[in-house]
Amino acid sequence: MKRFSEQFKKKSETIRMRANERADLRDRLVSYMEYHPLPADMRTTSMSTKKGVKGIPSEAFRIISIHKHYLQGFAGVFAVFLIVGIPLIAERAVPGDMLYAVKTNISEEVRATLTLSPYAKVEWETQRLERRVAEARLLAREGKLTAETEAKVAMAVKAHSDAAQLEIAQMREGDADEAAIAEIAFASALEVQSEVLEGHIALATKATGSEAGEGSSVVALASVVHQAAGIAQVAQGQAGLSYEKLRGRVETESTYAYELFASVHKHASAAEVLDIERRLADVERKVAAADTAHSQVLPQEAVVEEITEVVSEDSAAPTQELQDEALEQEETVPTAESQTVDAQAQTAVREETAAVAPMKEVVDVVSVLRAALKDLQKINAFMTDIDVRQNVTMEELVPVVPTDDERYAAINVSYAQVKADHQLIAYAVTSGLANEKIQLGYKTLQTMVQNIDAALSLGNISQAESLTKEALLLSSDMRTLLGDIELPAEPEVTEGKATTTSATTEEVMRG
Amino acid sequence: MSGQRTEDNISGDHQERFLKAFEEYNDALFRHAFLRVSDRERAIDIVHDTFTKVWTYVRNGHEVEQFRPFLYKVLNNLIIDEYRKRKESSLDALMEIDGVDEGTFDELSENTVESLAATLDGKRAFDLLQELPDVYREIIILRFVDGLGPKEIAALTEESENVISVRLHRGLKLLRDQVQKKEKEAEDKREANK
Repeated sequence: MKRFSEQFKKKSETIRMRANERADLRDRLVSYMEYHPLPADMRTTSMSTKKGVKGIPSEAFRIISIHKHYLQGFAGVFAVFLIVGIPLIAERAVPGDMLYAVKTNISEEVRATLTLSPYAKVEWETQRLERRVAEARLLAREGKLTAETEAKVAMAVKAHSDAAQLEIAQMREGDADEAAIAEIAFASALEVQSEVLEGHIALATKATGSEAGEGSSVVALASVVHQAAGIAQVAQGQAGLSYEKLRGRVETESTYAYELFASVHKHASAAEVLDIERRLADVERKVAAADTAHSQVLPQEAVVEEITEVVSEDSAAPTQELQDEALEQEETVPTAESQTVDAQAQTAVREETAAVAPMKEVVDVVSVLRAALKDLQKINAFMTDIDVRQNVTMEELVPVVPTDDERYAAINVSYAQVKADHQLIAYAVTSGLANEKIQLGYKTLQTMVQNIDAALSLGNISQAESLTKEALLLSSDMRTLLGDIELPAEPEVTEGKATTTSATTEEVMRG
Repeated sequence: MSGQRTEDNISGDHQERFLKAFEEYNDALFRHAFLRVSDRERAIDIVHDTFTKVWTYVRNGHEVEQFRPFLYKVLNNLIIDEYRKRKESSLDALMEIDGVDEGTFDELSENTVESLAATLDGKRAFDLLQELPDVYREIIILRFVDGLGPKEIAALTEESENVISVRLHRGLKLLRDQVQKKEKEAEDKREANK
């Protein structure tokens, strides 16, 4: 049986279609299928359930099938490119580029919308403003900044500045302290940008020997930024701020500054390192002075509290009210003076020479800290932003604050001159060479010298400084009036209180 | 022509399975049809019609679980139709079926089919297949060419297994007779030549 079936089957297998017959048959069949397709629902259901359809194994079908397969992938890749790729590329766009609108109107707006906290919103608006300035400077460097583009950038800068101010105003209603800190950050960022633009103009003028021409001038933009910085400066001066909050912020910022300093230490030049070190030391001194002044104010506050407690022993509510009032007064007294570098020293003077209200002290301490925070922010901008470093020197951004020793040294130099003049004038007066005017001036000068001596012996450095300055002015005027008179003998040189004569940053730092 | 086709017209799982079945069974179906109708072009047409009918069936939303039996069933029906068109031959075949007694007990054993087949030369028997009436030829082809079992053949032809076994037995017997007849003729020829 097996043999029979094998033979039979083998023989039957000789019967088969020829290749062309089979191909024809297949074509006829596929054609029939094409004209009698499956209903749409069967196609879609089968499409959705199948995985990796190979398609009909006909050459034409296979090609289309692969195409469709890739089409889905391509669509996906394209979508990803649209959502992620274009905004990424657009980040490098400058005004005039096709993708610049994507950058400013889509990417940045989306980020602005996603930024929820008011403080972060102000930060982001500041950053956007900085971006606009950087773009304008980039174009200006390439000579492509037309007047029209500059005007657009200036308008954008104004818009971002206004948006930030508006945000700060809204913040103030909720958290006044936070708003004030945001304002300081915003003002210092604007000042930095203003300095950068001024530096840019100065460098361009120096390089070309004349005012920058069409396409490279950022003068209009600089004035807009400068104006905005001025507004921010005025606005932040008006805002009250609690000492604790500000102190905390200064601490955060200085920690960041030291971290930055540690990381740039290796790459920065020796002069830069020295500059930064000096400014950080200046800031630390300011903060230390503020801390000392604040701790001296506190006991007085305690006395106020004690009194109020005694007055309203049987009722807790009035005490609370009074305390609140006291605190409110402290916080809302407007900053009388802008942050001058020697505010702390002036505070010390007032403490020693006159009865000073505690409220005033708090305000001064706050303005010292304000100055410290602004300096820190500028230093940080200097360390992080290459644009800033290229256009502005550290001295322009944060001028050196002389230490007490340095100030004494400067006073001594001036004072020695005053004394020499004084002796000469005294000689002129005694020998009848002086006229009435000089005699009158001599008396004033004599009082001044006595006052300077008193101030120096009390350690009242600010008073000594201003008096010396005045005295020097007066004595030199008088000497001019006297004409050529010489002392018969060598005048005695009075030794100053301080011995340090170091005048340069370097020597002080080494000391 | 094929180059103009688009995938949109035919696509998906159903098409894939259907065309796979075509690739797999077109040769076997053709062989079967050819052995039955003895006309190459008609056999190809029948195979084509078989597939288009099955495709229509699929289009109408029917699920075909196994293509092979289904294809054979359709093919077989088409072949019968073909016979009906060829009146004379089909009538002969039908007459023969009618005159056959389908169910004697001794013929139903598989052993007898086996022992009968053992006496046959496969090659010779195949050459003489066309001599058989279609009713036997169909079963022998399904059994020995297409390799279907008695059960499958029964289902396909809508006959009982018994009837299939009897037809198989008788078909083989007829083949053996034919072989013997041919051998006798050849022998007679040789002797006459001597």
